[in-house]
Amino acid sequence: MIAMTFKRINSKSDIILRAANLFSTSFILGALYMVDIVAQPAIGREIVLEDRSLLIAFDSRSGALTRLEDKTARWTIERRPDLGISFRMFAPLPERRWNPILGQKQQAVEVKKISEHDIRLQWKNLVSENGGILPISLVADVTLTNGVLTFNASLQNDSALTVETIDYPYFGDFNSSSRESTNMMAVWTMQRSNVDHLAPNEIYPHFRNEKGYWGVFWPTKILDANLSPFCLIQSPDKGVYVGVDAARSPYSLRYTFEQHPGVLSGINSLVPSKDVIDGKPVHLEFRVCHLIFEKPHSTIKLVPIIARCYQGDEHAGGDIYKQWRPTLPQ
Amino acid sequence: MNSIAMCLSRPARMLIVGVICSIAVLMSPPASADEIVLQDGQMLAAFDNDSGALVRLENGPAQWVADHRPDLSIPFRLNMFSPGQKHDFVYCDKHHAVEAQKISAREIRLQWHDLVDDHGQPLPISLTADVTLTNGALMFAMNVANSSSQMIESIDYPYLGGFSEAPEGVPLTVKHMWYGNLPSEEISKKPGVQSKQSLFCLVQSSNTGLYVEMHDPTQPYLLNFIFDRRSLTSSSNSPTRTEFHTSHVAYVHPNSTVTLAPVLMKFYQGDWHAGVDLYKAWRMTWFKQPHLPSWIQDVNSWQQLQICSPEQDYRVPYTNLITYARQCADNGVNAIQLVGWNHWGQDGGDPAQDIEPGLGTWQQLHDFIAQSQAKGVKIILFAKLNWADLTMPWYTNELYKYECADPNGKRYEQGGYQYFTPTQLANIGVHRRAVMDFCDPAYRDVANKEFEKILALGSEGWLWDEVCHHSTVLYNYASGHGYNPPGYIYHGDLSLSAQLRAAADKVSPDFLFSGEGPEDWLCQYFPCSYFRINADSVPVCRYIDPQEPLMVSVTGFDDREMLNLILMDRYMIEYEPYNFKGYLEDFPLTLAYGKKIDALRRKYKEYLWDATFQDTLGARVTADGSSRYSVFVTATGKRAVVVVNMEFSKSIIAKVELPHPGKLVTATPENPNAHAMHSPLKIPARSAVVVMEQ
Repeated sequence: MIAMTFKRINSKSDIILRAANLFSTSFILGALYMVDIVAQPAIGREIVLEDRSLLIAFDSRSGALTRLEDKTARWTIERRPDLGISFRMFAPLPERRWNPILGQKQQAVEVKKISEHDIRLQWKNLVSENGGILPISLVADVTLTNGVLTFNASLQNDSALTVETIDYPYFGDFNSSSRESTNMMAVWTMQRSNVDHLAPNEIYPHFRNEKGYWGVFWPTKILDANLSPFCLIQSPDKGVYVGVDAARSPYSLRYTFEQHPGVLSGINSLVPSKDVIDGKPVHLEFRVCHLIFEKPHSTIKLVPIIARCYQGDEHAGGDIYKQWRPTLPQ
Repeated sequence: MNSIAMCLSRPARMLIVGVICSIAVLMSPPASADEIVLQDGQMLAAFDNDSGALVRLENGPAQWVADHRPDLSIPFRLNMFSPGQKHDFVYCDKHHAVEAQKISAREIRLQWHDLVDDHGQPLPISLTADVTLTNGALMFAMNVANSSSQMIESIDYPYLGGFSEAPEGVPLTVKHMWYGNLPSEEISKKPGVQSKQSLFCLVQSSNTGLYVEMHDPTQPYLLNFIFDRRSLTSSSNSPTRTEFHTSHVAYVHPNSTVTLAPVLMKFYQGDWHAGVDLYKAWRMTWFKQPHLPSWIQDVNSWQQLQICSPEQDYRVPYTNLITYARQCADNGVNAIQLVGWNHWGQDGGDPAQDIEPGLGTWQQLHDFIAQSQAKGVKIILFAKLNWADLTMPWYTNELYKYECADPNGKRYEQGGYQYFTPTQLANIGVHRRAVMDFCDPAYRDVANKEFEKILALGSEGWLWDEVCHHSTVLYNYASGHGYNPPGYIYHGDLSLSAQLRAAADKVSPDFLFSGEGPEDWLCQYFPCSYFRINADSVPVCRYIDPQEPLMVSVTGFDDREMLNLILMDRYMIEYEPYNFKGYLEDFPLTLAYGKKIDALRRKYKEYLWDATFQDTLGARVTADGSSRYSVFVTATGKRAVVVVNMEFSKSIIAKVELPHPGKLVTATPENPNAHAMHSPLKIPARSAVVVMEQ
């Protein structure tokens, strides 16, 4: 049944599918996963949400998150627009599991500021890498209220495929507040379900790979949001709080960090200190992965993701969670 | 958990399901017991003539008494195995040796008959031990005659009941070989050392050590080297102490006799080099040097390239591989370790060695291999024969017959490996595998048949990934595998390797066998070993064999640190851009420096490639920053010292001291022409200097 439905979709999109198949069997396929060099839609103008403490911008064509600034700390967190990414999904085909849907290859049908505090983004008929165009829609609302960003999204899957995962929001160029090697940045998460027991995991200047090297291109860290409903991306005196309402989530979530294109040396795991090495951009990707396993012809509202900046150390970040935690149902 | 249970809770514990009857002989203080002594200028070993227990072990020159508590002495311990019953650890109070006598100036014979377990039940088991002392080496041999109806699972012998602190008072560490390294751990942390990784361990103090060896390189069964901390709350009856024994997991069947692998102990003076020297001397008596093709003996480098995974990414079709080979040829890289070329990619579909249709046809892969090798770039096909992918019909239909099972009859599994997608990286949908039984001749034939598919593709060699282990499995307890179970899986490694080598020899004796960190005895069949190192890795394999083709991965985008260590330890370079998923020229900084290092090694081949590696022996280097060094000695006795500045951002000043040096010159990868050495040496950050004696 799934295969038959897929065939129908295929015939509707024959030209694009042929192009996709040609692409998939071409020399370029060797670098398919290397998002760094994937062609992106031309960069459009910026659509901006801004208040006294925060600025966030999206590309009007791709819907990619292109800029994030902590105005209070004068910290440009997302800096280079060309490294901005909107989202990523995986929707395996019946006969082939490898079928990513890369945000970099999508044109947004809507990137619109619908109020002073709210931007709506919409993508439809998504181009997948090996399955042609798929009737999947993603509608995202980003709101900024008193320095707090909320990423809401819903996914409508009218395809015959299961959408296993979606990475959203997606920061393609998450910058440390300083490239000085003494300026350590770490991800702090809760240990043993105790907000007063936080543990760091360094991401700058050292980034040690924590996934099997055989199965990743780049040094990667993946932290389970179900074990820590927030993570703090912490520079010495400031940080970004990213929270999920994992307790109420019907599915599993992960915080994922990838250091592109890699580290200087396997001995010291140092991140290159310049913007470019060997002609390749040096950048940290951070995204929240929703493991939704969304069935064909269904719709899901994603768990909202909260992001906000704060001044101080990890205790200040933990305090944000403490303030929010009482709102959880008992 | 009692102390014996704690002891067995280490790796041996996984072996034990069912009833285990443990017979230990704990001696009362032998106030009037006479000792039987073996002694030479290097060692003294004394045995209680009543119990036969080893009561003293002394190192003459270093005044180190390794075993010094006669009241804690234990002659041996048996663990009985009775399937179908619950765990039961049973002690016996005392056994007397029926014979404990010195039968020559250097040999003692000990015998124990008609043992009695803790329930008072007689066990018709006889143990006969011969202990010989030759030039400071104490050899413990034992014959076990089991006339009982129960299986003896393991025999703990020899047994040092009161292992003392080192003479210098420093914490004792134990070291053993594993994965191109010599990992070290304090014995107070009860490290688990097993013969499946290393035939010896070194109990090391700062400048003295005890070498303990399983004196049989054929892996007849598992020998555990066990350090057990006893009685953390000390009392007069049970003082805090460390026990040390070797545990022979020999599975002596009812009504059978087994000769155990001898255990050798010898003290040495010095650090780990002196201990490993003892192993090297013994190794020369049994290690069969394998044939090596000439190209691997010369300075050479490889690239590793993965082209497909179980997530069906089909990243590099066979017809596009030639672009990778061209880059290798253009940059003087001699070989490509090709990964994921087989059906379902890396870690999918094992042990099948068919081509992956998603990547192209058999002919396309075959033709690429021929084209690449015509350009001088050898293709080394990556494969694994250890596992059976549980998701494959072949497993369901046939391969289950050869899988290893635990004592409860349940399948052992290896957890599989995660690839690329968030789903797999969350450990969902990973291809788990059954563990194949290499002791089963029928499976060896299956593996051989798959291996012949590799040979048919015309590559210059293959690399067996994970050749060094069988996941958590030690023994297969299932019947119907061509032997009386349980079968020690690692014992099958050599048999299968020999069978595969014979198949390859029919094609070409030059067909290269390489593997991921093969244990030293497996290097007789897998002479080319690749592994990963860190800043503190000990080049023990290089120290054992100065010319063995040992290859180390380089992954960083400007990986001078790794390349300098590779120069220092005479490893081959394996380039792995994007964790071996990219083009060689994806990391030009690393590639350029690697090429300079290989050029330097070609220019000074006599010093840096053909010479004998001595690690740090023979020179002394001090510096005002973090540094490492190694010493090479040429066939004509000239010396070279490679000094590496491990500092990331500062130069160091290093002083190189060579006894009675000749004229010294220096060269570096960046400045390969030799210049007279100016002492002390100034070495820039992240750099290496070679000092050579003219």
